[in-house]
Amino acid sequence: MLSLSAHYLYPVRMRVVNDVTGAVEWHTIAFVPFVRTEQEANAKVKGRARRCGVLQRTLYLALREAIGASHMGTELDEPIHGFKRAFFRVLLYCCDRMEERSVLCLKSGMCDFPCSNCTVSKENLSKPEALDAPERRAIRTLQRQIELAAGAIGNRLVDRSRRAAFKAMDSYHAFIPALACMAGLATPPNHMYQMIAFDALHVRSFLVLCWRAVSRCSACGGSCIAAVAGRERAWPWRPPDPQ
Amino acid sequence: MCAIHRLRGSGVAVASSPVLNCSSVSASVLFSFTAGSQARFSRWSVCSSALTRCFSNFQTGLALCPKAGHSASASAVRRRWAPQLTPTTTRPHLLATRFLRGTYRLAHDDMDPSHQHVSGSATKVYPCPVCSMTLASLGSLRSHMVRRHPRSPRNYRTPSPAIVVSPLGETAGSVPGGGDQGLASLSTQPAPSLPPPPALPAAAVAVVPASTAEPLATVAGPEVTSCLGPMTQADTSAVPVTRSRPPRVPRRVSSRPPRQPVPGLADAMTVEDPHLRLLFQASAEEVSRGAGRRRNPPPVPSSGKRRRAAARRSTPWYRFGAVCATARASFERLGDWLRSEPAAVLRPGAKPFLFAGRRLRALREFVADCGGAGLSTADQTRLYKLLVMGSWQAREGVAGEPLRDDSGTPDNVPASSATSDQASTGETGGTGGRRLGNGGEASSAATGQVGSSGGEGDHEADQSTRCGLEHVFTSANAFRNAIRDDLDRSIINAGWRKVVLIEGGRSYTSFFRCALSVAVTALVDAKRKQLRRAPGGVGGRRDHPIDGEAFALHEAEIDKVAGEPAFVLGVHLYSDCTLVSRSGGTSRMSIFWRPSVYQEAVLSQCTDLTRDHRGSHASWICFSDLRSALP
Repeated sequence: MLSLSAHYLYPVRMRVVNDVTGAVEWHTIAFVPFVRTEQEANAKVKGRARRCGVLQRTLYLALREAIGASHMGTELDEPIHGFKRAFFRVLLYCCDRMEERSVLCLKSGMCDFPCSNCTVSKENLSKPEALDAPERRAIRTLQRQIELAAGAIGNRLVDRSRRAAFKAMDSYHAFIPALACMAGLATPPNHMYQMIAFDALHVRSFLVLCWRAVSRCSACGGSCIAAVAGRERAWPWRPPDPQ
Repeated sequence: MCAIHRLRGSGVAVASSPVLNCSSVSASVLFSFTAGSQARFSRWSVCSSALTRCFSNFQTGLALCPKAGHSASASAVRRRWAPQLTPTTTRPHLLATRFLRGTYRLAHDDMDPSHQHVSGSATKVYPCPVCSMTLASLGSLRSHMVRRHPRSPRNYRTPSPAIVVSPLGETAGSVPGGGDQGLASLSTQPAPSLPPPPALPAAAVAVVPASTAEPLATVAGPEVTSCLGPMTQADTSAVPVTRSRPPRVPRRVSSRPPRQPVPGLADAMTVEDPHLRLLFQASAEEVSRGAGRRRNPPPVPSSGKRRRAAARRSTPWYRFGAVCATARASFERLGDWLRSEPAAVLRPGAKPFLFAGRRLRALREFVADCGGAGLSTADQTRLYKLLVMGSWQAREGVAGEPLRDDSGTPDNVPASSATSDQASTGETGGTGGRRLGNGGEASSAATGQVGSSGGEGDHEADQSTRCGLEHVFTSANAFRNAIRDDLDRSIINAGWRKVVLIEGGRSYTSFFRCALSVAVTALVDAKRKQLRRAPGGVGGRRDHPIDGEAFALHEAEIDKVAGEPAFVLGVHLYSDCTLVSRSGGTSRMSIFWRPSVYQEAVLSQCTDLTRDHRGSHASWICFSDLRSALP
């Protein structure tokens, strides 16, 4: 945590890996301000809303140009191998569950639908029925989140009962995740909820509960756990098929 | 609660005495005559004495309640609503007067039964005073006024000549029924003639506080009379007392600024970015939940809450084709990017990049990185004094190299160091090439010696002392300013910006820079690059993220939209990178103890990812240490 002129800030860093030399560079791209819980009525809820808003807005500002480049591409000064336009796309999001739910504006804790990949209910966790749970649909979920967020800012009247029904439908908050603006997540191939990988260290108990989330994570080749563990190639290597 | 209630259903203004409201539940019973008041009427026996006191004090403008401000409220209530009390008096009121008869004799003890009904008969018509629409009943007129003319005063009445009240309560130039105000005044039925009010008792006058500035009045029949003293006809003409209601005082003048309109998605179509503006304008589609356009505009609700809700509902709602465009518009409408500014501003006359040379750069890095957040200004001063005292050499002298500043440009030389440089330059010119010494004792008077001495004996000493820190930065202030200028220039060059985010009424300062430029710069700087994969070259082996299925899907998508050869700049996002880095390869046990039914699937997928997850050109964005910042 960086203390900068009486502000507590949390860095968002970018790690650039050079595959040839193996050199790793860290670049800080944003500082998220620290949001305290104020002394006010309903302080917890308001503080949570502020944290979510500040986090998403900061992420959007840091990724604003990248979001534009994900849709229309960014033109390089000099072509590389004949390619002059680069499209910025997110392939994988490896995270703890807490960060994952917060960045994607999903409810955390033991909510009704605790899995970020599918809509398995908490009653069906660790049951065979979890294998048949439908996947989360990025478009529908984001449409509801946008409507809820518009109602929250007073732009559009959303009935309270409708808001409650929306929130309970897929266990999400009334905020729009900044990553939803990125092409490829809310546009085809719609990897908004399929890009998620799990941090194997922290998600161990969660994997026991939701097998399906592990077995059907298709964004990263269905191998969300090994996204973390496989960096050092620790898993038993399966020889390639000679055919 | 000191307030004036109005029963719209009954159409009668019901004035609740603040005194009674504070102390007795029977307060509203006294002046209300609704059909359901019988139940409350039964409570009179409990507090008849309080009722008596309260009513008499209400008439005299006094308040029994000791709470501050209620006295004034009572007078305001009486001034405003007293004229309507008598005409609306009904059976409860008549019964109430029996309790009051012993203390105060009302003028209308023998009230005519016809007084019980204020509203006009059904045969009458009720013209709207605003739009001259004729309505059949008083209720419909009331409803019409509320719905069609919500902004007009509730007790709207056509302008009438001032009604002068005689001391006897007779109205000069009175309009029939003009004494009734409020919604009840909409009745066109002429007011019945009432007996003149009796003379006020001495006690009632005696208790009037002398400090009361406003003229007090008592409820004495249908008219409002002043109780300050007898008025002659001449006095009345001189100081006309009108029965028209005084203008309504604004409830409260708020010191807060007016509420800013909430920016909607429609505001996103006016963003400064021409590409985004074109995108939003082209893809905007208005969505309405209403049933469609009506021929007549919908009535404006009388309730403020409903009015705001209707305004929100009538606000056009846009969607922008795709969900991601709508989400983008929702962020753009906030205008954070437009409000952002460079994170640092160079001070006037700033001269950055004075830390030229290996030793000075190392010193600058130490100052910037020491303790994580760098040295404070006080510590910088102490460090400067320490280095000067220890004769720390700022530059390494090279044999045969003339003395010159590494920055090269005279603009980068501060005024403080320019003195030494000018001195050294002049000396160099005079001596034909001086060399910097690698060591030697530092002398605080070296500059003066250099400038003044020209002898060969001091020449060697000057060489050894001109590369001290005090020669580059003549004072601690110059040292601090140079560090600050360097930091500011570096922040600006790196593209850091800051913005004040107002969230939930609180403001937070956020710093950011463009992640895309960082990724592109790293990509351009790399020597070997692989931007696309060969479709047939992957096979069963997936050694790199570029070989993954997700990458292939994104490639297929951009091939559809790109009109020129393009490639995917893949990014992996990470959260809590510290813990992720510790967990590499240690999760094998978490796999093995699982039931064998799922073991194979998990292992095979993990194996695929093992191949897939190798370092490549992809950028890795790590949301580091965000746990405390997360909601």
